[in-house]
Amino acid sequence: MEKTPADQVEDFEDGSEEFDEDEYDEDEEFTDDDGSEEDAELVEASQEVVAAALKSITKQEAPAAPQTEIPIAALSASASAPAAQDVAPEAKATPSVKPSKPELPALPAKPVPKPAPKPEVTDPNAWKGISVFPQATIASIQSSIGKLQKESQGKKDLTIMLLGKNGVGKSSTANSLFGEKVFNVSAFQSNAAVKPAMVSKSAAGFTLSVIDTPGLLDGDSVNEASLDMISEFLQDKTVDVVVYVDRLDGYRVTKIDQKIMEAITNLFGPALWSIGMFVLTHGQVAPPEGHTYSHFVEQRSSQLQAAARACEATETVPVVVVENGSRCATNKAGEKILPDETLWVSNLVTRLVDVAVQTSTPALEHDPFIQEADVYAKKKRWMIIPLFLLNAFIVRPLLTRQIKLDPDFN
Amino acid sequence: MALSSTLNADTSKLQRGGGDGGGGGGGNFGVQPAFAEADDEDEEEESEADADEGEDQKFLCEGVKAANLVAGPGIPTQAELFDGLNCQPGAMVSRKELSEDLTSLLSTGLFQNVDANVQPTGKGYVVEFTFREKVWPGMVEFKISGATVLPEDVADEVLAEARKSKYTTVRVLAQAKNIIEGYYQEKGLSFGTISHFDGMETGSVIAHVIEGEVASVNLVYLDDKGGQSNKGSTNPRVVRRELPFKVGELYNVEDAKRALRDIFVLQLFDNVQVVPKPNEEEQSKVDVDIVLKERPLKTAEVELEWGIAPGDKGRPDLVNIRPGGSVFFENRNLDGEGRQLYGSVSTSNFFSPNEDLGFKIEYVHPYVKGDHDENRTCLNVSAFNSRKLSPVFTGGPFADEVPPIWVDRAGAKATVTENFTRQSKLTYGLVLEEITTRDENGSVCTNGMRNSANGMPSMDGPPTTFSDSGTDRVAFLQANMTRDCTYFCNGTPIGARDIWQMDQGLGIGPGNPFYNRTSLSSTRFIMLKTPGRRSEMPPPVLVLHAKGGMAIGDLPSYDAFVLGGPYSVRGYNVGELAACRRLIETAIELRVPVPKLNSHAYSFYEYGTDLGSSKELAGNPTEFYRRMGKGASWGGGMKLGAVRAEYVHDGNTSKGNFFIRFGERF
Repeated sequence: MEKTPADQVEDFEDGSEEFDEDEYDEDEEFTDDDGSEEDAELVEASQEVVAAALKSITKQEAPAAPQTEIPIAALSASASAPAAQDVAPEAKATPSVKPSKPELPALPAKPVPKPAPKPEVTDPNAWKGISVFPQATIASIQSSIGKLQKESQGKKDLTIMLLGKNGVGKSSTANSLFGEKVFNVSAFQSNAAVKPAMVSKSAAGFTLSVIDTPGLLDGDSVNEASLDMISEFLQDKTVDVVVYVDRLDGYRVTKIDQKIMEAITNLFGPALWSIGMFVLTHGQVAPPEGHTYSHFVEQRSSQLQAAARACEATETVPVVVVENGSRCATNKAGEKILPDETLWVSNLVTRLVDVAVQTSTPALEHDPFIQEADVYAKKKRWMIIPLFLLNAFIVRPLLTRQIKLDPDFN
Repeated sequence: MALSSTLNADTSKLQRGGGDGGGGGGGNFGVQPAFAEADDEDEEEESEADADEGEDQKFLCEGVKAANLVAGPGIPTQAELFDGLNCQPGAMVSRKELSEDLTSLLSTGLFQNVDANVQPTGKGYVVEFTFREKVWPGMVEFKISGATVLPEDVADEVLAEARKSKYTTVRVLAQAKNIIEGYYQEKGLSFGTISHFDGMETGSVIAHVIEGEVASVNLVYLDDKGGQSNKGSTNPRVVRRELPFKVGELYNVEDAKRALRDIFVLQLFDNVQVVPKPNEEEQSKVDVDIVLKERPLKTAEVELEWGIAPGDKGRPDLVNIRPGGSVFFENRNLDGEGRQLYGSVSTSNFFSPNEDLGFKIEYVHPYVKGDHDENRTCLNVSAFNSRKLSPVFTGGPFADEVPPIWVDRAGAKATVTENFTRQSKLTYGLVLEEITTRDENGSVCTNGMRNSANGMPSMDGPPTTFSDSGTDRVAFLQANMTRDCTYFCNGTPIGARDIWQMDQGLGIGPGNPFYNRTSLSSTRFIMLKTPGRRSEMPPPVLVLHAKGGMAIGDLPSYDAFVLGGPYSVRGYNVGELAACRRLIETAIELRVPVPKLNSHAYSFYEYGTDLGSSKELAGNPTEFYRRMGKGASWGGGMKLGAVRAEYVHDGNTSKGNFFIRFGERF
């Protein structure tokens, strides 16, 4: 609103910058996260595929069978090159992991029996990916789940919805959460999620459901179609945590960001923010010159929180920084860390559970009264004929009578 | 412009005609045989004296003077009295001519006696007229005879004035005449005059008035050579039904003006005059002649456009070999009944006219309910096409340029117009239309476009039509009523104006578009202070304006309400604020007179909102093109004739701009 044309230009430049980055990320993610055949076909990516494959080979020495007993069933069933690649990113984190049953009291309990009876058939709902997390991460996840169950009367599921602009890393975040590739990742709307999708994975009697949604950006305005689809998709679902995903290196909350937040607030009501959370992707970014990393994160967080407050958020919305890229640094235990040493996977799960637990308001359920815009006024159609009659038999005669009463100056 | 100037010319003719024919209302004493009590004796004396002198003897009149001439309202001034005389400075005057002058001065009836005194000066003579006023006993009673429309108290008013003088003099009578004729003038009864007074000697004066009752109304057709006839190609009833004159009623100038205007609007005549003249048999009655000069009623024109420009060899060459142009025909007076047929076709390429064919064919049938229809109900049937830029596909303040969408409409409609008054009318009818939306290259498009980041237009915007093919066919009822009771006070409108509009889709056509779209707009021009009688300054005026609209049902983008623009919320482009289903616009403007310029300076505040209804429009074009959905503006300006120069502050971007606009905002 208060922007000058100069700002506009700046905005535009920002946009193009982001665009470039997206492109770059796309490549990165193709090679690193998506090991599927179709991706492998991409000539551009092939080089990096090779590189990644090499990487995995070089690491083979240690992690020849890093997955231990638990996920092998699935992995070995599809032990093709892409599959190996799929695991490759994690592989560099896993060598040091020596998962052992005693340390995983509850969680692996479920996965273990499953592959046992039917080693060949994979249960599509089994949360296999959890096992690729380093030991410490798994422990943390477990304690979080325990907390959830303890504090909310044995709740055995957690449903998370990811919202955000296109290409900010919603699907990647979901994949990171699951530890496996469940959603196709793309920087572009056309081949990424065009419809909302929910994936549920169970492990040890606990079900994690993630709803991935299409990007809310359409050109430079809010994608109403996506909102409509999301609204429709949620009709029979309950969401515990709404995650608004944006990039850490977005630098500012633009007008369109604000608009998107307003749009989702309008759609779900301001209660949304009481179960809301911000996730900032690309956490491994170098802070701008003269800023420390923590200061940078702090600044970005407060921007988004201010934006949420502008959308009638009453409580402070927590912010979690993540790094979905495979090049994410790890600590000695193999846990993924951010430049400020945060163990972000654990942190993410902890905060998700915190939000799910601490909120006093009921989880977001689809409100039938907050409907998508009634584009063709289907509900008001009955008013057409009364309005016509009103016009024809009340407004018209009244006006005519008034005209007859008027003084005629001619 | 041409019409109005001609009309003015005719008005002046009318006034002159009225004056000549009726003998004038004002001080035209020379012709009017008023004051019949003229004293003849003195006159005879004079003429005898004249006879003594030789007729051939002429003298040079060097100057004319008046002595003892009374002055006052209703009494001719010296200049007026002397205007028609033979004795003019520098003229050679004979004795006889001088005596004629005396007679004519006496015959005004104003004077007891008039003497001429001829004195030599230098080469010639100075003529001095000495007047003696008539004096009668004081007035005790005053009656008006022959009056039908004068209120009773006019006589009392005259008497009250007359009693202020001890004697009844010419001045007193002139005053009475002024009062009575002033009353007639005020009512527009230009033939209302006093024919004569009597009973001055007794003190109970009677004023005889004639009021100018219309005896007959005649149509006079002028041919090209100026000859007159009673017949023209136009059926007389076409003219007669427009005439407000009725035989037996009083002739009124306002009626004459209205007749002039209404006949002119028929567009059948080049020249119209209303000529009232005293009836030859009864002086108190008036015959009204409507003098008409018919204009050519059938016109056809063909215009061809061949572009010529220097070719590659330097010689003139045709720009293209495609002949473009237009064909136009009209008949404004089918069968002499005033019915009109009008048609035009234009294209830039006659060999393949379907590319950009523009056409309009219209048939107008006035007085469709008969000649005695008070509302002058008029039937209008037309087939048309049009191409307009859609204001729905307009960008907001920060949007990049939005690729334009053209809306082509082709169809037919039949409407009936009831003219309640000159300005207030109701029009209703049925419209069948085919609407096609096109992009800037002219190809049919189904969605609005936007220039994406890489500069390529992407066609993913809001749908342009109801169907998904880019072409809609709709049938709807249309009604439109204007209640306008504004009048002009020193050039500025005062009063109320309301406009009500409704489109009712009938659900006929592909997809059965069924909808109702209603809007109502009200404007009030409130005069804050009545200007003085003599003042030519426009009064200070407060203008209040509000408009509301709603549309329910199937509403394609081209029928959406748009917000913003010089007639919606000033300071924004047309459609810059929103395209929506419901809207409210409000405006307040204060106009204050500017001395010397006799014009208005004004300041205003305007606000419009879509009431959040933009999102109910398919594809939300408001949001898609980054528009605000609402906005206010304020500013001020100055009216200079038809031009408004104004500064407008745009509330959304907090920027101000200067605009020059023509015409009125409201």
